[in-house]
Amino acid sequence: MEVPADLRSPRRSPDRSGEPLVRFEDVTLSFSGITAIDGVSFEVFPGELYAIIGPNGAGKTSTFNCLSGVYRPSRGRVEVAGHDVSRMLPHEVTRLGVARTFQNVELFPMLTTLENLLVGRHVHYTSTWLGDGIFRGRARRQEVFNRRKVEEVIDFLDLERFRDLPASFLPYGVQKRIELGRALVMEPKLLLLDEPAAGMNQEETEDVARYLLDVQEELDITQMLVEHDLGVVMDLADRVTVLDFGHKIAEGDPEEIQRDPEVIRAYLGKQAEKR
Amino acid sequence: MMSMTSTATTDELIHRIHRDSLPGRLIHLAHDRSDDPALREKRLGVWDERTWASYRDEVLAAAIAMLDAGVSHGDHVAILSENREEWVFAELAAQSIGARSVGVYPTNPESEVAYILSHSRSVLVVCEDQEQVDKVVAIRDQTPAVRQVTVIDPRGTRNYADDRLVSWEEFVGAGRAQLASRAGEVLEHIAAIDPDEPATVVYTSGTTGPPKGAVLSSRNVTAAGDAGVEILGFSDREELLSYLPLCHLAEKIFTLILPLAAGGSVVHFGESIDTVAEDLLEVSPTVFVGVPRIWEKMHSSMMVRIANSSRLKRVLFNAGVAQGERLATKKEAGNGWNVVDHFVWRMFDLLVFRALQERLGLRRCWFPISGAAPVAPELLRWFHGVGLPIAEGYGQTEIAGMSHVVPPGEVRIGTVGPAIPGVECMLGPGDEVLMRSPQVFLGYLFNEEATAETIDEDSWLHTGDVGTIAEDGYLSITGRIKDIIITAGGKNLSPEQIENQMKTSPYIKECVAIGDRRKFVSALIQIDADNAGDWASRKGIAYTSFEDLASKDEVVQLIDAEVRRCNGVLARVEQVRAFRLLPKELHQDDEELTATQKVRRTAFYERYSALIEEMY
Repeated sequence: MEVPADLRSPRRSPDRSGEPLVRFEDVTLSFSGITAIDGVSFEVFPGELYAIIGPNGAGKTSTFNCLSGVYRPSRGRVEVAGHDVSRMLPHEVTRLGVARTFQNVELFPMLTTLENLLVGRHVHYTSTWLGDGIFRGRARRQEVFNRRKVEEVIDFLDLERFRDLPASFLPYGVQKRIELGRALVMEPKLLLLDEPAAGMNQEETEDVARYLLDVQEELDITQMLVEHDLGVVMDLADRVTVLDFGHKIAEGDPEEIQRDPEVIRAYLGKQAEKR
Repeated sequence: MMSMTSTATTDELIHRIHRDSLPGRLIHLAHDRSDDPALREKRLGVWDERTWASYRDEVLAAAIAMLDAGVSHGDHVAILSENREEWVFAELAAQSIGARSVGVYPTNPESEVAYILSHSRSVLVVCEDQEQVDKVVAIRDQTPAVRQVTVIDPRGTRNYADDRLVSWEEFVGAGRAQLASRAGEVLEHIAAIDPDEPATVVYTSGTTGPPKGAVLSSRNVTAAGDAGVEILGFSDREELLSYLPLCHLAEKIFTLILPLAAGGSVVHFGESIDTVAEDLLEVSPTVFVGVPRIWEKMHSSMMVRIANSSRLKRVLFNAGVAQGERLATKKEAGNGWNVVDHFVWRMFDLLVFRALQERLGLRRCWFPISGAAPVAPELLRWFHGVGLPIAEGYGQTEIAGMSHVVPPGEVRIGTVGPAIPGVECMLGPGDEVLMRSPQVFLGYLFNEEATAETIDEDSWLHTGDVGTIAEDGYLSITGRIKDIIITAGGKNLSPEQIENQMKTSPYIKECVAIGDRRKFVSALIQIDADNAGDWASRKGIAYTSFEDLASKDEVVQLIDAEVRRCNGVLARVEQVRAFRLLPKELHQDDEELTATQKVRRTAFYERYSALIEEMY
């Protein structure tokens, strides 16, 4: 539904005067001679929706892997919420409040939507196996609390009708939404979204965009997304970084990026050539 | 939550409130049964319960908020939402202060919302969520009367610059805070309600022309409620699921009017429009109203499930349904069952019917009722045969939604039963059904001409429906006067009867019969994408889209066989001799269907004239 622009105020721009939540400082990542990321720096501030775009192999997913502790950069510093994550393991980074979704759906196919989401709450479980066995007191309270958190996300993402259906039975777009839900139940500070609209049709893409804006507006979670679909990025992101062959070639708000000659040559130009 | 103080003054006030309006009835009910459950709504996976006292307090709080927003006597308050508690709070709050509620279908496109808001000159709009707000914001220029827009779920709208927006929580919260000091003020308003003044406007989505707003008084709706309770034996302990659009009277009767008339019952609001089947299973209502589409869907989903089940189950099921239909017909004809009949019924009830009813969520339902449109007799027989004796009801918006219903236990398939207490019914010229009753509406909003065409000098309501009345007063509806097909041979046919017959096939979702001034009857058919798709998959037929599926030769042959089967039940002149499959699904957004999913015939004939001509 089109809303006249004058009746919707411009989106509130996140405040960039404080401490950044993510600091990528001169990061280089190379594997046996191939340099995936070459001296890339950027900062992401709390509440921002920050996009990284670029052609295939530009180093977008590698950037995410450095942020979530999967890869260790060869040089430079990666900070999340003031912690150096470049020497941490993925599950330690998770405890800092970093959640991510993947390019390909990575759900437990035979678990229901509800169960897949409960798995996402695992990071918040503190009871012991013995306590869980007896299921009194804290273990029980936690279970109720966790279920409530999951139900809030089911409501947020309109997943009610899929609650008790196994994930593998569901359409691809819904599976992607469940994956987003699993990241949200972790109550992250930072959400890394790897191509959230990949493989979706127009309507599903619009839905995803809607949900991501709602996440920003209602839950105040900082989001970084890697995306191929330029339309999605231009409508959603507060700021964009463009990578090409591991180099950062531009950074700015979507309008600036669209006008940048370097970007047009490296990214849009190539896209146009491909077609 | 703040509760009303029951001081001597409030008691005296309640005494002055009459029971001839819906808000008046709510106040008395909340007084007499304050702690009994009235509503349940499923939120975050749990059914939250609300008592009658809390129900009343929310209505009073919303009424205070409306007064503060400048809503006054005679104003219109529009509601654009799916069924949920706030819907009924807003409706009853508006009526409490002498304003009129106007329900708008949440599926209506922007243009239709604009028409209703501007035609009714609504001053306040209650929107469910961003989707509805976007429509109302976009049509701001066409609806200058709208002063405030309250949003129940404000997600995604917080940064909107439209200064009319306020969240429902904030809106009603302000009312709640003043409940202790100002409940009396609202009660005074309720005590002052004139039962013959307008209480609500229900827009009828005509299949021709723009919608008309039927104005109903408090007396219209309370009279319908009292008559309904009497003839149905509706108790004050029923359990209901509110899921049909609340802007339509069929659902308003069961969600609001009957519980308030009966002095209680619990109404459930499910999670969303997509979860009706699951909600139905959990609630297992004792009274359930369905429209033909719902029954058709239940029937076809059961048939598909049976087709996919084991051989033993199929054999048992078919035997059960055959015996069930035989026994139901025997009972309907007034012949008693013998010992063997009782035994057979009991056996199949245990083996087949019970499981089937449980799967549909209707095991506890003693009164399944069908309304809003005619339903095929074959479909009703099937349901009777599986122990769900669906009764048909009849009514029009213009007579507060219900004028006839088949009383429980006195079913006669193909009729809509006798007139309910207080309704006189007779046939006029051309066998048009005419009715007179305190339920007959006040007229169409801002449209005296249409009102004069509908209610004559002697107060008879002209329904536009053609029917027959049996000796014992049971009414049968044969069709709409304007839709009657007169074939080239001079025969008068009702397209609805032909179409409903075709729609008994699980593979046919929609059917439009054509034949006016033609040599024979033909039909345009929309296949049921789910069931036909399922059939194609089982046959190993690959398809990509709806259009592709509908153009497969195998599918055309399947439908051909179905049409031949359905023709077997029709008279010779009614039989469908040619048909074409529609390349797309009919949709409200394309102006092919009304909000109640009825085909807009005029628009339809125009759009598909090429396909139609092809057949002649």
